[in-house]
Amino acid sequence: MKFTVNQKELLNNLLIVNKAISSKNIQPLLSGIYLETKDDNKLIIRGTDMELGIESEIGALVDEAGKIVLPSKYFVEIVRKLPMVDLELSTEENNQIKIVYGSSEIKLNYYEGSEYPSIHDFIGECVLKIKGDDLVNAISLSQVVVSTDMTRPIFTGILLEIKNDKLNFVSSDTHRLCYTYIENIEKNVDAWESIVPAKSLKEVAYIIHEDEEIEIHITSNRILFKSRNIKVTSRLIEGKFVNYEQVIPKEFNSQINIIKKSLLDSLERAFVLTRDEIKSKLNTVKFNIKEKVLIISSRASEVGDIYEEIPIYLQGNEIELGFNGKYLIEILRNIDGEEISINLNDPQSPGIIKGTQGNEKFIYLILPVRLQ
Amino acid sequence: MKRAILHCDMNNFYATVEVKMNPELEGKPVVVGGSKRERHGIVLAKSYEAKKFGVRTGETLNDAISKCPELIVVPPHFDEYLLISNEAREIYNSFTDKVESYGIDECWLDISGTEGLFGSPYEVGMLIKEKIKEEIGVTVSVGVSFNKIFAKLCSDLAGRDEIREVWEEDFRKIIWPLPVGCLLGVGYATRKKLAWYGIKTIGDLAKVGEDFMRSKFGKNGWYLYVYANGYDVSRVAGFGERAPVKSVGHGTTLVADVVDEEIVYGVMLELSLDVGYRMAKLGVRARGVELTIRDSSLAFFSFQCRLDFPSSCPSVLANAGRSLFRAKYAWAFPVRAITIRGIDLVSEVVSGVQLDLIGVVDNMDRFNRIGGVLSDVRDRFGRGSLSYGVLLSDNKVPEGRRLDTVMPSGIIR
Repeated sequence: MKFTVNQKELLNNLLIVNKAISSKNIQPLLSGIYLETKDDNKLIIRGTDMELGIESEIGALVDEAGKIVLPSKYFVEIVRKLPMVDLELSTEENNQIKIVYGSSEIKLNYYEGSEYPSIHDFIGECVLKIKGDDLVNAISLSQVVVSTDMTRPIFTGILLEIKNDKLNFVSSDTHRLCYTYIENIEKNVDAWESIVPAKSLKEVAYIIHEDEEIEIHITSNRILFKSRNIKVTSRLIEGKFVNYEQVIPKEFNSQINIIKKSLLDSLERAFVLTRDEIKSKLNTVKFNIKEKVLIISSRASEVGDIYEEIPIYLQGNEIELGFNGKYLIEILRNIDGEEISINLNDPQSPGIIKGTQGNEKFIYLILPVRLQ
Repeated sequence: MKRAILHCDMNNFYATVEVKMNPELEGKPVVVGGSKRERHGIVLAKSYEAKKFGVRTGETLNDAISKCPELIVVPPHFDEYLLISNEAREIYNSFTDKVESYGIDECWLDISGTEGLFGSPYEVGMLIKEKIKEEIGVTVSVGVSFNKIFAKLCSDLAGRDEIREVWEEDFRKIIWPLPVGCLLGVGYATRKKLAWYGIKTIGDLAKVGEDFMRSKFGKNGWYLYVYANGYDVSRVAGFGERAPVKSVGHGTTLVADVVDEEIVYGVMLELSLDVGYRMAKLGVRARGVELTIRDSSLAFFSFQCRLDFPSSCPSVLANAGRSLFRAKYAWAFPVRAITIRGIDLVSEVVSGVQLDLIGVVDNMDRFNRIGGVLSDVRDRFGRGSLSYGVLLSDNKVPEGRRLDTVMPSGIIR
């Protein structure tokens, strides 16, 4: 294998691929970074921990095709410290690769690349095409309410569901739920369900280019996101997601419209008082919803109290109930738009938070704190 | 005001009480031990006569009997011990309101400022010692000093029915030459590690310096440094004060080794009934469960898990125990002893409950209601009046097992 590549471009792509590599992986091949050159002047870089896999393709002047695996820990650090020049890499006979920069050179031991797992590309049973920015947006909305508790794995993932010509994204940490969707998708099936680890989707949102079209391939156990020069693949989470449609109420006794910033500011002040409730983690904020005003109050016995009034527009009944302030803050911080609507039934039933005019592509469901 | 702390240690407490209960045993080698049939076969306490034969606390009854064939083994009567212990407390309380129990037979008393009433600390110690001997019929060793650590050390040094004192002006002379193992908080492992650094006496430890002890032994090392130099100023807990409970557990050695998971579960449930009841009485719920198994090769295994919700309901504790057991116990040997413990306790009084989509709170409400009923019925009709159906069959828990008393744990602070 022999090729020439720009240091900066190589480094940028190594850093992306490196996100899928654990340098502590006990399998030496998986703690390494895979390089492959083809005769069409392309360098393919891959990394995986078998859960997540990332592939990046960059241009390089290829003199000789080949594939090798280099220890990521050393290779990435060395490339980071090299001068910003063209690097000439070539394999030598004793399983070493020579990196030439100017009149200097470094040699690194490498592994044969033929054994490297091939998980980075496949054709899915379900194939769809969506716009990059739609995907990033859906992921960042869903991301807020995923669980990190590995005892219930399905809640550490986000449900991707094709239904009624829409691609639905549903996530839940068991106390909250997020539903959002992407319309106008190109797809080859009418119905599909997969649970994708939220951790993997976070990397997808971070890596892919928002202005590109993304092709998604899904099989029974893996998903692949393909853009022009980047591929991200992930294992899927086994299991059946909760029946989200059943838990989302359709009718409400109380509906309020409120300026998002007023509510968020108020909740953040209340949170200062309750954030040290380490054990209970309730951060309880009491909502007293009156005709024209929402009264927010919170009490932390060892810190103090807060009382605030925020003007609202109420349709329906007055109601009093409690919420975990932190849960609400995380949701509100993630919503665009000036105004939101909060829809409630009773103090023990889920509340629904939505955007208003033209910002209605998502809903957040939140369960109250039952006040004793 | 000069601090004056007393430490009173009732001599050979269990054995002495047994002899009191049954005067025929007077002057004979007696040990208190679990019943041999039910295999709690170790020496819990011994009389002076038994001690002369070299019988040691903690050895098996078989070993003890081989040293002293005419040894009399009596089963423990914890209720009696508790009664006598409380009588002694009454006497302590007549001298000061600051009395802190350290186990069933030891107490610290803060008698600072009582000179005008009862005389010097030494005289107060004498008074208490004589009063307990006369009124209860138990001899005590009394240690008198200016802090709890040295008071305890003095009572350890004092023989049966004796009193020892040490003060700021002479502790270096008296205490520093003693082996470091005499100091409260220095156990077998610490002693070995200290010895490796050449620290053999309490004086060595005192002089080695704060930084050294902290860097080599961590926080506990720093405490030892403080203790050795007589800097300990920890309070004697006042009347009615109690250290916060950190966990509630129960364990038992089974009547026979067990190879059946259902029986193990039965025992866990039986134990959990007591654990849950005690937690209910304390007004706490556990957020986690710790299961300790000792197998027939006497190897120990300890497993922990978190609960979905805080609970003191016996079936919740036992079910968590069973899941742990299933997931972690390899069945290399039959099970000999089981302990189940509620850990990471929180108050049962909460300001609110975060509701959820998957029925965790529904379960919590249901099980905690069951736990509440179990504890109420037990209060009204006694232990065993309401139980689980699966416990109706033989479950290898020794008959007449008593509630354990709270034993001292770790190092005092």
